[in-house]
Amino acid sequence: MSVVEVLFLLLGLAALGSALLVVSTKNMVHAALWLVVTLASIAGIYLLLAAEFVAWVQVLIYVGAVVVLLLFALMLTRAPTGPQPDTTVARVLPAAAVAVLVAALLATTVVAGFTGVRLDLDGAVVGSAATTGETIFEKWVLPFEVLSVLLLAALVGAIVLSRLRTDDTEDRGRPREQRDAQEVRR
Amino acid sequence: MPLWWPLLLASLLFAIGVYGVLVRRNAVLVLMGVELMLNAVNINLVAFDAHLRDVLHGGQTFALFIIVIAAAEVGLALAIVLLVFRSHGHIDVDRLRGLADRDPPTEPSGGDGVTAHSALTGPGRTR
Amino acid sequence: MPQSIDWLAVAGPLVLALTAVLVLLLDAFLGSPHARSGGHLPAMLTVLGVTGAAVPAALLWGERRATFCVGPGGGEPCSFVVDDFTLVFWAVVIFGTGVVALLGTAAVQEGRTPQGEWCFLLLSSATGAMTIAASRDLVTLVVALEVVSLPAFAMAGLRRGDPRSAEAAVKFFLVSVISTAVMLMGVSLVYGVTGTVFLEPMDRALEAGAGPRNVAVAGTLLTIVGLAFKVAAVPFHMWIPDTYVGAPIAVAAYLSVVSKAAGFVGLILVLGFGLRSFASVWEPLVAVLAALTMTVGNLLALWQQQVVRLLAWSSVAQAGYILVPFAAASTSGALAASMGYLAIYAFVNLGAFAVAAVVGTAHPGQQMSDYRGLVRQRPALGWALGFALVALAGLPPGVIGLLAKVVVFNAAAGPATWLAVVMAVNVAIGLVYYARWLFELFAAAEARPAYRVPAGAGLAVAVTFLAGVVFSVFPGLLLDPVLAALR
Repeated sequence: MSVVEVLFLLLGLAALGSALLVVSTKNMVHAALWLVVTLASIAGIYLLLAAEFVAWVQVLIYVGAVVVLLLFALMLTRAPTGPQPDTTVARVLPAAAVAVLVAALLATTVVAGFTGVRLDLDGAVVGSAATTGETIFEKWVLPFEVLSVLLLAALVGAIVLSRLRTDDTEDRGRPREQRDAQEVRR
Repeated sequence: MPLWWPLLLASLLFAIGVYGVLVRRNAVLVLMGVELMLNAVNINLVAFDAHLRDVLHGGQTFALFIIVIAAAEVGLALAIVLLVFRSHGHIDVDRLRGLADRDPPTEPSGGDGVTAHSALTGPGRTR
Repeated sequence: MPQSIDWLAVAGPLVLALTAVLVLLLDAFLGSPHARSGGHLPAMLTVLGVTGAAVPAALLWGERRATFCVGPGGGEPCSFVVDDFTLVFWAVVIFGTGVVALLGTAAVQEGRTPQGEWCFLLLSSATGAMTIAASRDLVTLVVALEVVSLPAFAMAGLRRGDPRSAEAAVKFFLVSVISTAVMLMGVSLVYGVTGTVFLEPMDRALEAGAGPRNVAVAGTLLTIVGLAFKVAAVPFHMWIPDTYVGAPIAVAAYLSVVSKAAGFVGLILVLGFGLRSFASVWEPLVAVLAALTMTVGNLLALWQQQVVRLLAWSSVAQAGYILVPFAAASTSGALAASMGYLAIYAFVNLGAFAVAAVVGTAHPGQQMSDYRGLVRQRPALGWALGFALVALAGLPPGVIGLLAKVVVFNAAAGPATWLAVVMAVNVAIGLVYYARWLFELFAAAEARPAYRVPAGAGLAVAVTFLAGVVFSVFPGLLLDPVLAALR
């Protein structure tokens, strides 16, 4: 067994174990922290699979930004940080049954479909920043540009929704500037 | 390494994500399940990209774009979740039933939520 | 070597995206004085932008333009193709977005929806809808589908001080995000088997028997499940009534027409173009989905007293009719029938929503009894709604609705006769609730409520009504090009 294979097994087990904790831990903040472990292990797996740039983006955006946003969401909604009684047997059993079914079907299909196929990583082109940049801007300009519309729309949408306050009715009479100034101060 | 290793990992991770989506009641925790599912997809894409020696790097590019999509989704999710929290005081998906489609047909007002809604949106409040 | 870009081909979505930015900037700098004095600058700009996008679309009719190609020497396969199929769908998006922008003025007048941002989100979403119809690779398709959905989540929540609006947004958001993840899993498996994300090479690879067939089948099924959520096929429809009732009515109109149409285009592209050689796998599955969708949608619509919820369930049922030709997709021209029904449904359904938006200014509860005697109180509104309902039911004089049903029925009869029979039964069930509503319209009523018909919404009613009448008198105007587009 090569070094890459050993590393892959370790990282894979870490990802699976922490993912299980993400969905099962009773403490919500712990769930977010376990998600960091999962995402970081997956970043390691990307490195092994010759996707260097994807790995760094995973660390930057997923571990760095997405998890922080999720933590914000948990904190700002004053989620109880203590244990949660939200997993009852009546909920867990059907969910677990569906999950096991999905796992069994998907896993048997891909394993049966690709037995004996070797993933040869020695000659693979490493997806470095240079390679990825070239491919994106030479071959994938269109989805890249459409993504920019997506990001702008998500940004504006998030700002608009945050500005909608339930108590907004009474201060509508005042000039916009005043409201904006108030907005900034909050 | 055999190609099915990463694929098996992705399948299991996807199933764990499905479990999280189904079992959790807090909207943010449901979203964490979705993130696990999306990461499973990305593992698949990256593994296939390496296996196929895709000259266009379709898999890796797709994975990158999915990461960006996920970030945009989470950003918007934060805003929506806070909106719900401000109006309902909780973000428990199971308890959001103001709209649940179970109006008895005989009820003249058409069911829950509608009356409250008319009070909110009636002409008296719009000025 | 960078890709060469055919600017005329991308002009449609580009105009919409630029208008969106312009609206946002103007609103930020000119700001609310315009909104408060009743000026509708953003809405007018939106309609103008949408009309502007129609110009390049009209110029391109009858041609096939491909751009953003990745093949050797800038040849096929290409990411962005404008052909007649694309243009038919662009027409639906352009018309739908224009009408929804006009309807939005009613919500804006109410003072609870920020106007500039609303128009920006609408235009961004429409940009995605136009892009998806032209996309010929899965990366662009998925990204564009997200561009359609993401602003729609925000639009669903755009209503100050209404907890139901927030609830609608979170439900819509979660369902849509989960369905995207499921669909992406399917897409990743199909990519692994075929080695490409471009639709036509993908089809060729599958036809040649590339890779393990079972993995490709699993990928196909997961992709269909994900897209079925987007078009709200039963059993993936639970979010529809809640979201439609909770969101502002203009958004419900948008979701039921443009956003749903985007889902169907995704389905047509992925199944009809990318997985065509797998038709034997997905045809029976989609047939079952279609039968379930029609039946459940119609049966649940029967009980509704709340008009928007009735329209929600009826739009579920209509989605079922659109899915019917998929069951016979191997016969040529079947998917064109779907496209034709979709186009007609868009025009007619927007008409019903437009009147509902106007009535909603006086009766926010949207009970069916609120419509009693509308024809006598407000003949223009009453007849417009009456016509839209007749056309949705598929009765004369709403000839266009009838023709749509015949086209779909013809496509299914033969290859999937049982489904055609189910559809016929469902059309009969549909008559019941549309008729119930029609009776209310024509009933005698005592009170005469004060409708504040906003200029924009009034215009929307007029436009949809006129379009319905013109197409009923000259159905060939709409159906001939649509049915020819996908031959």
